[in-house]
Amino acid sequence: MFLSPIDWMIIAGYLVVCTVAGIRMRRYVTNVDDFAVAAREVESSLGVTSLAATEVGIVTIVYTAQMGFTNGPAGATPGVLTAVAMLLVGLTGFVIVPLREARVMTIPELFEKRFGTRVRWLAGLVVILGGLLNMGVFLRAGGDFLLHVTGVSALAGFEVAVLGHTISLGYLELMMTGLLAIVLVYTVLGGMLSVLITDFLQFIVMGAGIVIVSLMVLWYIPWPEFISGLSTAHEAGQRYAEAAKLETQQVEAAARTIEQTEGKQAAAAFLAAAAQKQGEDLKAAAGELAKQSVLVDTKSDTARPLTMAHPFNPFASEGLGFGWVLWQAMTAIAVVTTWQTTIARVLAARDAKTAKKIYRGTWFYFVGRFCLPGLWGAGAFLYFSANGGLPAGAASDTAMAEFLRVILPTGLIGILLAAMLAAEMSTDSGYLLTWSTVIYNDLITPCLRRPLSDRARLVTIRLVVVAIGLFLIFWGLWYEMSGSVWEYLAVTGNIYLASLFALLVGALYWRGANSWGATSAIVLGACGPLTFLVINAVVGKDSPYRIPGEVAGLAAFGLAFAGLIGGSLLGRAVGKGAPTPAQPIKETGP
Amino acid sequence: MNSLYVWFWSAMILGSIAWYAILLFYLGVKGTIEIQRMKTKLGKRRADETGAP
Repeated sequence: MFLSPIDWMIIAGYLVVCTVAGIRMRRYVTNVDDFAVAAREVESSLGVTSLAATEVGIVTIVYTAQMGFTNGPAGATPGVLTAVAMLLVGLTGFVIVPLREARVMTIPELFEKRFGTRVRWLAGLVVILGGLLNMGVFLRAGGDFLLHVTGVSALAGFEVAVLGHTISLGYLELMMTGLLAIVLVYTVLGGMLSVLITDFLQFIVMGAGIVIVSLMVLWYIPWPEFISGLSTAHEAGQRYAEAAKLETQQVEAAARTIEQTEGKQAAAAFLAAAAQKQGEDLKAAAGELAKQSVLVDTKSDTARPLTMAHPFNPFASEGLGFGWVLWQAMTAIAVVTTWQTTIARVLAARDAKTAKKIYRGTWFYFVGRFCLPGLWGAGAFLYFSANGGLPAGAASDTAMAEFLRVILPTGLIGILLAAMLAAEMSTDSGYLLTWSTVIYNDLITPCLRRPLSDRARLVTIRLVVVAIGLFLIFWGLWYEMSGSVWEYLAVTGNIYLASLFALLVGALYWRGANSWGATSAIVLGACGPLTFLVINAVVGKDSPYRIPGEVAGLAAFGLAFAGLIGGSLLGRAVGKGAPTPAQPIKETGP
Repeated sequence: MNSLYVWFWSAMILGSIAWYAILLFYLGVKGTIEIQRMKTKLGKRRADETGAP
């Protein structure tokens, strides 16, 4: 453990202030509107800070740094695309203006007005499935980061004897459960009002931490060295990749010869032995390879070489590629118009004009959301290349935490940790509130025969918040992430992003859309990402049958729009599907 | 072409640091004012509903 008393004081001070401020807001909550959308009294600056704080969690820092570690600044491409999408929506009001004017609490509620209760329920189910799977990895990714920064092993813990049984308790699980408990207390009591106030404090602490750490990274690796170092690392990595490809081809040719002479079994045994030897060779040569800008990931079962892709051009074939960028562009537009945690601020805004202002005020924040942790990740790659390779047990997702632990002095580690706790808490509280609102509003309410009293509604939604918290503790802490964190988040998000985006555009801008089209869009849009998750989980990490993220993501958007159009036309042809309502979606009430 | 990309990412990264620093102060002040205003409004509404002074 590397924390000094000063670091501990900073962290404890932050936690106390934040918790007290959150709990104090409970006195203003009298009904579900106060709890879920802060009585629709949010002004632009508070909306911007809340949106910015919610959308930056530790998991965000981890995956954006991982993208920087593997792709340099080009890894921040999704951030630039999201910022551009946000600015365009903020200027034009595309989707968000009619959505705010409909005075709904969630997006599925809007669908009921247009397509009926069944579509609302189905949409709510898909939103929850995608949202909770997405949020499921937050705790472990966050805990891993915090432990690496403090120098504690992610597997460390202690044992306690309970009724004659010995139970192992890990520090990671205990720490994240404690953090979630604090978040649950103020979110359950004060709802969106508490989330807004704590988000504001967290925005300040997190922003200060991000700026200070970024300046420290640039002080440690000056900008000209950073740029030239990345170019050199990329070129060296390319040379290594070509040599490795040649070696793989030779091994495969030898395996084919063995297969012809000795059979398939012998060839498979030869390939397995060759892979094992390659892994052992990599581990043994890690220090030497680091000098050639090739880092060895020893966290996985088999050691893997990590090289720098094209650090500046995202379209390059040895980088992310055009298909990937296109998928990210589609996802960015869908996120800013459909992602419920983002839209929650639009729906809580005082009016549509304020909602647009919140977007215009937040857009550039999304560039930094990817670029600055990406800077830390790329800095980690350069640091470990120059200093004998990655430490034992580190990989692309934890290298940045190890790097910051080395370069940050006492006091700044405390600020970094407080900032990261702030990031985690604001994201957890925002997401807990959002998904519980959807469960209450779109899954429970449509099934009730009689409306609940104000008090019963408030109790129900609070119980849902607690239930999601419990789900997160169990799912979030035992789920083991493999591959890129960002890809997992983007694909699970796509389960509902693609279908709801198609549906939202159809509901707001196409009078021909009907419930047949809506149902088809939801089902088909969810198929692509779910197939990706299932097939990739079954075939394993190195299988040639793995589905690339961009294929699953783009297919989801294509299928969702095809379902909306095809289903609506078919429904109309057979005279089925809910008709377009006579009254407009926009409401005229106060 | 490559140097264009380098300029672009330099502007994005260095611009982000500056933007975050500016936003911290600007939104820090404006956000505090808005919180006070919202609390006053909600407190007044609560007093109206409960009849408390």
